[in-house]
Amino acid sequence: MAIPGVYTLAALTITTAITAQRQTSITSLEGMSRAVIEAEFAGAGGSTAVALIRSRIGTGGTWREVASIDFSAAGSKSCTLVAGAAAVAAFATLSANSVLAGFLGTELEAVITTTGTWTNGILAVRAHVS
Amino acid sequence: MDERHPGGAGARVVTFQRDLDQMLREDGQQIVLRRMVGTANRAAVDCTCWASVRGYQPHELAGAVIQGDSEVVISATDIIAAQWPGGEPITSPPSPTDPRVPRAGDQLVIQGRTRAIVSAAPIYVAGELVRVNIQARG
Repeated sequence: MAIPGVYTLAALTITTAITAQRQTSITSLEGMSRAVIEAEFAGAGGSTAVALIRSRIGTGGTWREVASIDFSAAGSKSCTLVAGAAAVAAFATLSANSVLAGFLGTELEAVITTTGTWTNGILAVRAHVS
Repeated sequence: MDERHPGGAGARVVTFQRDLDQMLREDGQQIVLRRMVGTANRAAVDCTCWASVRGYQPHELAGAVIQGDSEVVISATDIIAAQWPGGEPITSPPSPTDPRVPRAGDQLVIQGRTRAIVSAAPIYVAGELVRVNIQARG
């Protein structure tokens, strides 16, 4: 696949609550050393919306949480993930609006969770991979 | 044995794709394939593609094809490279339709003008998506 490149991890309308809805993954990202994640959320009336970004090494690898981007109202957020941190890091469930430093595999996916009922809700998550 | 493609179906796909890509780059133009999400609030999922764009001939104006429509041919190469339209909700069972194929309601931006996709016909060679013929309007 094209590196550098821009990939859409999720683009969906949000109405009723969604529980950990996985999106199809972006694959074949061998060589990825940096991913700039942009999440845009719009809508009104609901409670929360979370885009959990996960990565894994190879199709048989285990999905690891690398970023949790949380919204309670319309807005846009970003984070930058970089491979190659020197320290050993344990994989764990991420807290709200946090990242796991240093780990980027060969695939990326978004897992979407929302609560409440949103009017005119949309969530778009893009990754600029290099 | 296919004399032109002694490597079999795989070689036939590569040859077909390479020839189409070369033709589009030499004689075509770059357009944007766009899927919009949402109604009041909207987000676009774009893919820049090489394409051949032409108006229909008078004798082709029949059925759902009306004057002003265009036939747009795009290669699957750009769509596959961009993994367009990106992540989509995983359903069980999986959707029977190929998500890489544009659908009615998607858009094309051609020379800065946004046009609606009326229909799209995918072409597969040896099971591989290689080309999409699109009817565009607007």
